[in-house]
Amino acid sequence: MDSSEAQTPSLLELPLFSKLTKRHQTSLVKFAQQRVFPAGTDFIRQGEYTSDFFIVLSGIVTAYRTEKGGKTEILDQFSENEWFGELSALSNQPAMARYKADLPCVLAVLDGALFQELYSFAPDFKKQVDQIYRERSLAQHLRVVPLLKGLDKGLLSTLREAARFESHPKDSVIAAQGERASEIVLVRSGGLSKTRKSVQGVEELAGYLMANSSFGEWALLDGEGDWKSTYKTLMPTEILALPVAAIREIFSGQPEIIDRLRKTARLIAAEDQGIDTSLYDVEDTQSTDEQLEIMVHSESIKGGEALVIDLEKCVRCNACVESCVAVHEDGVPRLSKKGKRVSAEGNALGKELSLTTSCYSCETPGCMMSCTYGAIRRDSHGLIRFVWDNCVGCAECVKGCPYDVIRLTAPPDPEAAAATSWVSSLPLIGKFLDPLQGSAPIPQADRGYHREQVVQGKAVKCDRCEGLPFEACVYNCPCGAIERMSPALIFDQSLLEMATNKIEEPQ
Amino acid sequence: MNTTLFRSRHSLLASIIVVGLFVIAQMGGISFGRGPNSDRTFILLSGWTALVMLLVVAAYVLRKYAHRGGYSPEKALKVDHASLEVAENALHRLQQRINSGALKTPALIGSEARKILKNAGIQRVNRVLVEPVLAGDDAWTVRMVPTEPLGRVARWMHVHVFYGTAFGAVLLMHSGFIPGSAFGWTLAGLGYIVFFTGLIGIFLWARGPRWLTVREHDLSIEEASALYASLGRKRAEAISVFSPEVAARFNQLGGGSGASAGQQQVILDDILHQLPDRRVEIQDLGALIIQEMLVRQELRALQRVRASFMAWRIVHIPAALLLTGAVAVHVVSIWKF
Repeated sequence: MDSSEAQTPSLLELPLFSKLTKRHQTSLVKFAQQRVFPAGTDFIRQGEYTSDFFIVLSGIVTAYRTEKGGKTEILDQFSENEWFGELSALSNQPAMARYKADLPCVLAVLDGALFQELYSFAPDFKKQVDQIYRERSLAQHLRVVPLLKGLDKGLLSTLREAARFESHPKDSVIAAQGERASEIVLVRSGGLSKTRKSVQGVEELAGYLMANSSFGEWALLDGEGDWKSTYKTLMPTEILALPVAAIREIFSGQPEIIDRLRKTARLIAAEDQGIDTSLYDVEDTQSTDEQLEIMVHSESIKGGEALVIDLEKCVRCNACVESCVAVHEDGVPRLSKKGKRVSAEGNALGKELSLTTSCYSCETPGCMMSCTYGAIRRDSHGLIRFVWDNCVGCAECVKGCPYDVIRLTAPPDPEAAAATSWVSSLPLIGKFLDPLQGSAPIPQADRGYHREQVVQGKAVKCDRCEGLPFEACVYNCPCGAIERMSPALIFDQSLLEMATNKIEEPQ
Repeated sequence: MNTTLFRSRHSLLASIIVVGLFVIAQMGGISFGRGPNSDRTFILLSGWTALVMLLVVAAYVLRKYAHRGGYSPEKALKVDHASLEVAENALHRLQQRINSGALKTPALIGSEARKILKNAGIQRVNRVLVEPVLAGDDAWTVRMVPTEPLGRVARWMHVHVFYGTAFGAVLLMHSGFIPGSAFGWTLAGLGYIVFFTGLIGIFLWARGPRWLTVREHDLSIEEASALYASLGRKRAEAISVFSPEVAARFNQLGGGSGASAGQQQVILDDILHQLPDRRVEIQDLGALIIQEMLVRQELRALQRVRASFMAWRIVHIPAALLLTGAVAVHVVSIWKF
């Protein structure tokens, strides 16, 4: 695909951007990209993690959603001057549909950082985006709230107008324990910690709530409408508040719906106290406190597979790290053996393990959230990938990564670039033996995600040796000690035990 | 204990070769090496077999170090990311067809997926894996995995272990218990050194990691190493603000100085006496140095454990290199003369 920074002058004339300040107009012209997609191109896949916001400048884009049963339906269609992608740009959530260019399309693309800037500081832009979000996606998003799961689309639509959007910076208290709870809160993006004061008055961590989690359902129950915990933002967080009074008013003529909601709220309240775990379906359990606790404290992952060393086999020969260095031109290793240890008792495999310090593709990727240049994306498998063109080597992702897996390569050295390897100067065989051969730039990929180039002065992390017929660390371990492994394989048992211990008998 | 080191089909093949040669010798009444009942054909057969085994065993070493040095021949197969992305997109569409029920059997899915990889030109780099979404499920998911064309080094390790062990036995049959010449003694001697250190190595590599893991209860060797380096940097930074004379006194406190706890206290008191107005700073630095020393002790202890199962290579590797050279001379001399 063609990707350039050239702007069509009409972008600023769109109603969406008509009231931008001079500064934001400059940002828009400077950083928005124009991309051209031939007819028939799937440029976003369902399930792919993206934070881009798209405006159709010409052509037609259709969004296809494939349901679990395999049925595919047209979710929406976008023509000139219409936009989409606000849900992913706001919440870093996987794309809900596959987006296909039905006709040759020209799209303006605002990366996550630019979108967030406009959304946070340009009130008219925010108003228009929120309006469209409210009309188009809110009903679908509300389905995430367990309380509202059973409601049909029509009923959910009636709730749309009552919803209130709020943005909170890091460390804001959204709700304090003991205070009157009067709304149900859906976390759109970011994350919260949930703490409770024990009887001794000690603040104890009770769990985490990430994007698409909700709380406050018990506010619907009479006499039990106090916050049971304190909810504090772990990072800049967007929430959606549904006032309980508004819910009651909207459904005032439909007591059976209020009854049903109360019943569900009671179940959720019990769930919150560790009584019932059967309420959430498989997809939702990804976000249960237990999983998140393991994820945060045991450095487990959601996307991809962890790189695990079996300590019963590893002779600490360092072949994994050396092989990693050998296949990357910049000489920077993408893994470190210095990682979290998991005892034999603490995992389902019954082996002493070490989770190497290699990209975990976290559920809430700190690197992606801290990158203000749109240089980090997730693919449809949840793997974090760099967009080298956008990386300026600012090291914000290095700071944002909680596991210290991102490193910066040395900036380009003109003298070194001019020098040739002594191996390549060998007569006849030199060019075949030189390990640097083959690093010449190769034409970019069709969506520009994986432009092939020598990475200098930029952030790097494990790329799973893409393009090579092996994953160097795994391939070259003489003892077969290092393996890619699904965290579910490692932690399922522990999770099960944790859940079992947490469940108490109902009073 | 790493029992996977002992589990390989190569063990069977290596055993068959050794037992086969032994049976041939027994049935023909042939004595090993040069002796009254020696047989030229058997000597040649066992010699060539030992040589082939030695080459196979050496191939593991070449392969391992070629890979670590970045000279793997597989690197030539590298494909550009644009082709990978083309395949990824096509596989994604295939997955949607699978989800919609258009493709139901793994064979059909695999065949379609292989076509995609071939069209994208990445079939030599990636292969397809068709798996049930859940065990026993009839919903399928397709993904790409690396082809690993020459097999993992861990498999080559099995080759090294089993043909290396068999080499010892074949060498005995080839040379007999008493080699006839000084060169014969050299060859056999080196061969047995390599063989026995190799056997020790197999045992130690199977057991040793456990010893280290148990010892690493507080700090892993990697963490200790990183922590030691970090404390060293902090110490150097903190010392740099003092005069060279005081810095030299501080350096006498360090882990490498061999100063006892008593001597350290004397040095610290001495510095405090010289610079009473910088008491807090000096005490902090003293604490840092002692912490560095403790980490160094821990690191050394861990390194000793690691050395206990890695040290066999100090003998094994040079002896193996000498043996290879001596065998080359032996083969050429037999061939020529």
